[in-house]
Amino acid sequence: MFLMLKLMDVHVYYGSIQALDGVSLEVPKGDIVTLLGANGAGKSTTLKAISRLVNIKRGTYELNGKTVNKQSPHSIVKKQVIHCPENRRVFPELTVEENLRVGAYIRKDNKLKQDLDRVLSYFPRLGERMDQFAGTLSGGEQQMLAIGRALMGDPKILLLDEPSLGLAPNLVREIFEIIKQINEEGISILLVEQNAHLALETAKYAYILENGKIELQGSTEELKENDQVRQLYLGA
Amino acid sequence: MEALLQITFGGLIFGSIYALAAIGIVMIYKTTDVVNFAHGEMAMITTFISFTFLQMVGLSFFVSFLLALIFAAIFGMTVYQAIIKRVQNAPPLNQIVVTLGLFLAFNGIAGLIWGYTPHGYPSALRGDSFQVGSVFMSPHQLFILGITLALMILFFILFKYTKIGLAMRATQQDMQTSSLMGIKVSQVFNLTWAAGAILGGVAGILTAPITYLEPSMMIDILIMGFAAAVFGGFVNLPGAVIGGLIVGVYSNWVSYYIGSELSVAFVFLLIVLVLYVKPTGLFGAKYVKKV
Repeated sequence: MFLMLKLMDVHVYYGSIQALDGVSLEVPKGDIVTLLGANGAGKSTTLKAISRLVNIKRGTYELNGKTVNKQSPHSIVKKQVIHCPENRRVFPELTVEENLRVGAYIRKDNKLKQDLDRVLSYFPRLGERMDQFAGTLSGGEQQMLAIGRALMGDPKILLLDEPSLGLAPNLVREIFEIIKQINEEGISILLVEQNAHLALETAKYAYILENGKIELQGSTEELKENDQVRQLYLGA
Repeated sequence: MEALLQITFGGLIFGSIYALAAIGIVMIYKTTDVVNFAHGEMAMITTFISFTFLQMVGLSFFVSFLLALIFAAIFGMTVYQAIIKRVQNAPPLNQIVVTLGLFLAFNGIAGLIWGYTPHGYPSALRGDSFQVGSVFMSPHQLFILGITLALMILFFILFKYTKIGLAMRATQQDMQTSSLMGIKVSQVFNLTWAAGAILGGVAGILTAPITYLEPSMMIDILIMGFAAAVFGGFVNLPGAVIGGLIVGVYSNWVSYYIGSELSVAFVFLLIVLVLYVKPTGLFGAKYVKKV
């Protein structure tokens, strides 16, 4: 039932500029894994390589042991790896309900109603705003909608790109509680975060990315005690 | 007063055709970010194809009409796949040169194949004009109104209530995120060009009985269609429709009361005024598109 995601020595270029320089990582079954690093380190690019928005020039990308380097974004979505992009990217001129329906675009099964109810139980505020244009929602509500929309795709692995971006601290806590709940229901999560405190609290395993390379990795328990991490990312 | 009513009615008829042309242009621009100057010439070619089915093959009007629209769909997709796709991410100026080039090329090719002699083109509904109140109307005019209305309703339903319509709207707003939702955006682009070419083709087939069929028949329609699109800020489909009707009525008034040679000039004078007051167009909003 779980899906195993693995990147091995993945290289990505934007034109002639190298964005990822041999990234290897794993999202084991049912875990929350976080990817930390400064701006421009390649965190979002890693997620984009996984959802196949950018080309993998070299290296291997596997889902359950099968190479999927060359597959289209569509087929990655079909394999239930769903990417919730940075800056929320809700469709501003679609209603909340329509945004959720787009999230379920590829679904052909009949569990839609059930999944919609689940999303609305995580984010009751969306239920009150179903007919409102997404562009009129507050930042927090848009983030909830973006996560809800991704859940409508019935993910086995959820890729979350900076869900805390630009949100008030209490909202961030609320959203991270829900991220943990989502994980407890059996969805593996790859979490990209700037807020290292929060990410290390939430995840089980962490990778630290610098200049397109994995510099450090380990269990979050370990990394929280690591001097380099404390200095650079936890400000201790 | 009677003249005013008659002129206004006539303007609504032309306006319907401008509206059909405009929504094709706007839809294509909104979805694929390309301003298609060849829109009118693609419509003209579709009209010639329908004429070929009608006169040479001798099929009935409606069969020729349908076959021509199927041709239009394939034509639209082919133009997109073969040419436009390559320049979709090119600088706007390059795209403009490409679609202007297609405009000239299609015009020339049509002249080569079908010649420059105007042909008469039959209307679907023949028969004498009749009077409603003080306004004379012909069956063809009612046909234009009916088809336009039917297409508007059809497209409204398509966009609002179908899955593919939802995918089209999502892609218009954010292409990259749409593909993250599993939407095959290249399919959406194909469909958009097909639908745009169909709308243009209908406009052409409705125009031909009024203006004669010849390679330059759609140039005025294209200009007025662009004018109509500008009213909607180039991104708003209902705005383009209302823009089409405004342009149609207003230009007919100018033709009648001032002089027909000035109608295009006055339409663009109005557009300059509108854009001066509201630079985003009458019904346009500030539109930031994410790619």
